[in-house]
Amino acid sequence: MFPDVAASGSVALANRAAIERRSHARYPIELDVRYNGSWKKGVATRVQVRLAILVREASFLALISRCLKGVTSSCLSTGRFYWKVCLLQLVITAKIVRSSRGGVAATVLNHKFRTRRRYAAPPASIVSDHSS
Amino acid sequence: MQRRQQASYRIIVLDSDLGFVFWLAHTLVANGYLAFPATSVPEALRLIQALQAESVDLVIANPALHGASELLDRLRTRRVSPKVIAFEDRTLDTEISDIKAREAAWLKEIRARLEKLPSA
Repeated sequence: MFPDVAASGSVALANRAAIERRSHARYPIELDVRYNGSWKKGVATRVQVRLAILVREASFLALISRCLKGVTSSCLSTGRFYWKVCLLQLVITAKIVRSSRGGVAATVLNHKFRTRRRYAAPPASIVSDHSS
Repeated sequence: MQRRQQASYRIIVLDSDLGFVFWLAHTLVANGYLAFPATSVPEALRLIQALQAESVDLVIANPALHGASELLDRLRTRRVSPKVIAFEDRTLDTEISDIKAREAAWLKEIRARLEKLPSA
């Protein structure tokens, strides 16, 4: 009659463990990044991007392998980053938390997948916001 | 029977891990598939509606994600249901540390699932 609390708890724990194990995996993607920041607008080509989950803070960290134009080590600005995936475009609003010659680290404030305008036919209705 | 072109396969990748869905969708696109990332069930539903459910061939989803199991159950009841890879119980990303090996493992798994689909 009643749910097996111990069993469901262990399942939840197992699920969580599976998620936790994956959570520190960082997935590198190399592609062009368009950015529109309070510091400057620009495009960086062939940039390696890694999006990592910050488990404790329940947010994402975007690690960009190249310093962007106009970003200095003391620059703590917020900007938008655009990446294309198939017919969708990932738009990330992020705040730069660290910058060096080697690259930029930014915490993701929110992200959304948008359709690309030049593909008029398919999913025009797919616009969603997710605060992370 | 003639095999379908890879580009005609439509794949939805659903997980709360933005980095993972972005990476896998990007990997699939680079390998000639039409892949769409989603980080929540409502987002995946919007995608499925927009793409028309019948034209979605494969859904790669983490059933531990809120509402994902229900979504997968609903898809399975459709007349033409997409193949599903539920990766919660898989070791694809937990034990493979090398990114290239991980990529190859995913592509092999996806090809194996798509080969079981009826030809167009």
